[in-house]
Amino acid sequence: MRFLGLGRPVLRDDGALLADAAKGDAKAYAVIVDRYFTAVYRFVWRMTNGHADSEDIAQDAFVKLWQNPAQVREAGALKGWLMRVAANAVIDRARKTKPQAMDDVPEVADSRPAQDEQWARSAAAETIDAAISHLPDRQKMALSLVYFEGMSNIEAAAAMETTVEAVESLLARARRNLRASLQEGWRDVLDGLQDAGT
Amino acid sequence: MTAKDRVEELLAAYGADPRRWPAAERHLATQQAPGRSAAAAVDDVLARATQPEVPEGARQRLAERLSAATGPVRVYRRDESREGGSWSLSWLAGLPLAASLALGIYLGAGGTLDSILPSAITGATVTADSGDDPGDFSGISDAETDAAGSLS
Repeated sequence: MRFLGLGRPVLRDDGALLADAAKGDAKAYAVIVDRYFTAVYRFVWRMTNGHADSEDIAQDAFVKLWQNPAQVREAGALKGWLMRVAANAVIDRARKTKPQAMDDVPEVADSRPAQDEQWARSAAAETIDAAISHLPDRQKMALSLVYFEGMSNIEAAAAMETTVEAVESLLARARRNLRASLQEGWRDVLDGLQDAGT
Repeated sequence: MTAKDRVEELLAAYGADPRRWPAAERHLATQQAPGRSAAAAVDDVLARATQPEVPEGARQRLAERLSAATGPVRVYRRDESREGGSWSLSWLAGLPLAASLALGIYLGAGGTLDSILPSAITGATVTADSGDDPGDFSGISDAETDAAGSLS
């Protein structure tokens, strides 16, 4: 981010940043990291249901970009490119990892904002997170990109290498499955949220 | 597809909040739609999902990892990859090698150099001007005489 005389930040577009990063400009690359690391981390966290490897997987996407920024054919789709690389890394790791007994499950990264947050809200959030985590990968990916990361249907379709219609179908199925999986606990979840004063 | 059908699709995919709909279709939000309350209930649940925060020090750890990783790979276009136009002449360097390879194949196949090297080197004697009269055909009659003699 450059600052001109008036102190107003001038946002450089992804294309300019990528071009400079390709020449080895570390500052340009740092701006890219600042701009997208949080979104990529959150996306990976949701795809892995908060697995402790989330940070490593998110880092993998940025290391790959650092090593060859020219891989990104369309600068305007940088965020989608990072998401796609991260999603592939999640899927690769899931394939390599054998099913584990509950006792061997790695510690889950705790991203809850406050230790003393009301129990009911935490319990409800965990129930919802678990329901999301059990969605099929493509549905979870579409929901994460569009609902949680606010990408447009066109951006999400590009990131998922599919059509807008397919994204809409995945979103609809994700929401329907979510409702079905929470059917029994649906009222409890909502009641718990109300009790927690949210 | 009617506008009402499309609204149901939008509700099913994006939820009840029209701000989450594709911009070009937000005007359809005024349509009555039976699926609105069900979509709003799912929105209510999704809004309560955990919003993970990036772990403290994550960017620093990424910076450390990048500093240990190989830096950016320059991807050159062909015209950028050489300096001073030397690319266009670089094929000349292989020319002697190609020529000697062709010569080796020719000689190995039983060819000789007699036809292309000077006679001083090959030892062949070719006399262009022998001093004989081109109009003297006496050699032919001598040959005929010899032939007649041998038949008799």
